[in-house]
Amino acid sequence: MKIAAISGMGWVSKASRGYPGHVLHSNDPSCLPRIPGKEILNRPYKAFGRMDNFSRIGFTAITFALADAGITPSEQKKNIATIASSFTGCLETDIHYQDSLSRGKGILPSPTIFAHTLPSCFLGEASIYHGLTGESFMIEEELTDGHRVLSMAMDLLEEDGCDTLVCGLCNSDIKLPDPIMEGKSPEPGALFLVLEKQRSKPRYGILTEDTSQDIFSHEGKKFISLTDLAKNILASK
Amino acid sequence: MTKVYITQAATITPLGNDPDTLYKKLIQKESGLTDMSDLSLPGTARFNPDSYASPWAGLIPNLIPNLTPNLIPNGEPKNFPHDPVPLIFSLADQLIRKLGPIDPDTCLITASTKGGIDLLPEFAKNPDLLPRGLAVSSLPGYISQKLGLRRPGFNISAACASSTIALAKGAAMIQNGREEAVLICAMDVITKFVFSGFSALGAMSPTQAAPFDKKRKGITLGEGAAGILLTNEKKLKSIKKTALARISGWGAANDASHLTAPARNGAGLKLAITKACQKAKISFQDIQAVNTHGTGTLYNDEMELNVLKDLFNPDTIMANSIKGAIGHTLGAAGAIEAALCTKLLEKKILPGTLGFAQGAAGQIISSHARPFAKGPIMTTNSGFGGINAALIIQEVA
Repeated sequence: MKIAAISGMGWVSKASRGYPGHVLHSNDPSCLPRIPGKEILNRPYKAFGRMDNFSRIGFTAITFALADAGITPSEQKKNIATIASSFTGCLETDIHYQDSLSRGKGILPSPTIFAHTLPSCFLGEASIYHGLTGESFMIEEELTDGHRVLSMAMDLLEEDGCDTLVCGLCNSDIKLPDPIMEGKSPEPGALFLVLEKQRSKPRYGILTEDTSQDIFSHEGKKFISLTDLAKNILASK
Repeated sequence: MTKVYITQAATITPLGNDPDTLYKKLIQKESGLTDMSDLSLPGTARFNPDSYASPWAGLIPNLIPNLTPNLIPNGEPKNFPHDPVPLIFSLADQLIRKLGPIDPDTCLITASTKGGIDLLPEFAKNPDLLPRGLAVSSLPGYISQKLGLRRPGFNISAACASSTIALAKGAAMIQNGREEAVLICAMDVITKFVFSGFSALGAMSPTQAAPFDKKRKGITLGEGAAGILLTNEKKLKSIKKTALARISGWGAANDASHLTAPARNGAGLKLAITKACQKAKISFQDIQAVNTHGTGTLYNDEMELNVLKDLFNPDTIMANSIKGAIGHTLGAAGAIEAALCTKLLEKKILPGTLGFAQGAAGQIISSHARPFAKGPIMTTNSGFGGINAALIIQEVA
């Protein structure tokens, strides 16, 4: 049995964005929002304005989750890891870059957009802005329940020197065949949690993993996906 | 503490299709780099490089899309037979043939940065009809299905450290008892998409990459694949294999400094190396040989040299880069280099760095192959997003 404390949560969806107690509802729930920097940045970060939308929603959800956990952005380095899972990856950004290639007939594509055609780059952006020096990587998978990213987070928290991490999901609003989930593709948007090594009074309770059966529970109640866990947390507030 | 064994290592590179051939050709100072504008070279026509900053690339000869994928009879092909097949699936097919039968209970981790991105030009104008093979998330499903594995697996994307981190995660999953066997399949291919991007970034060398040389001007892209099977001791005995080496330490860290350039002080790489040595329970002085990332860019190579000089004895530590010989294979680089490291440990010889003539490296880098007395050997990679990763690979005993 593996155990972690949930100390923060942030999200960006078509309907709303924010963290528990700080929810902004969208004016247009038919699409993911184009988030303005002034809404989330509390110190200058020019790169935010150059980010593609996939990076922007992931960066924003991480920033909300850290704010919810009381971790403020600063240049002071913090040993916090970041792990994300995605089904779509940054395909939307890839298409954007391909458009820039086609417009310039292959001669003058955008280096800025190209730099964001690596799906893990928004984790790098969040690491720079928040000063996070833990490891950072992206999982790309067709099984989209979020169990893999949670189990990797639980393993990392067991290692020496990793007391806190941010983990979650980030998906573009793009259609892909979903052979494993069969119609249950993840909702577009991003959802991140801040997990810590167990402590006495975690803000959102205890997350447990029964590794022998691949079962995750929140405060003793089983959940089937990371999205369901977020709903449990919101319902309990 | 559960030990993690490298039980099998397969590679497909511009310098041959197994680690032994790669090792021998590196020792013989052969280059696997090709001028793509030279149409007289057989099996390497890919696209016209005239619009880009360099015509040079490390190509797998005769790699063409397999338009009729031969799915295994007992698999459930679902979308794949009807979908266009990206070039990377053909490279995956070659790697699968090299690997041979794999225990169906094995956990699969792939490592690729852009997967089947070569399909994008055809579909970018109609995003409602995207094929499954375009998404990197489809790559583990394709390979798992072809190998007959029980689970679909997942891809790890961490820029040019993707497969180094995939190996680290695989090793951790074995050490903490989650898995008995983990197969890492790492691969990336040369595409217009990636070629144009590095060209636009101004990161490509107009001639063959010259890692650590004072006249270095950037990277040469390459393509390749590696398959590395990691097991615990119990699984090693049950499949009756002889281990090639062990992964005894791993570490990763972020620079938190710049998206596309390394921290000048190498803080992230130092932290990754420190974590790896702590995990392996060794000191820096226990390492005599290092396979570096060594891309050939001004800042990466300078950063790596500074880290080596700071952490190790610059008069005794020796290091190399293979990217002047096969190019930078992006997400596959770490696994190809880890597979090579099993050979270097066996031979106790570090190949010279092709393209290096002179620079500020002192005794650390050489154009000639050099013997080293004993393992372990360390291999490192760094990538966009500020990520750095290190592995410690040592003899089985």
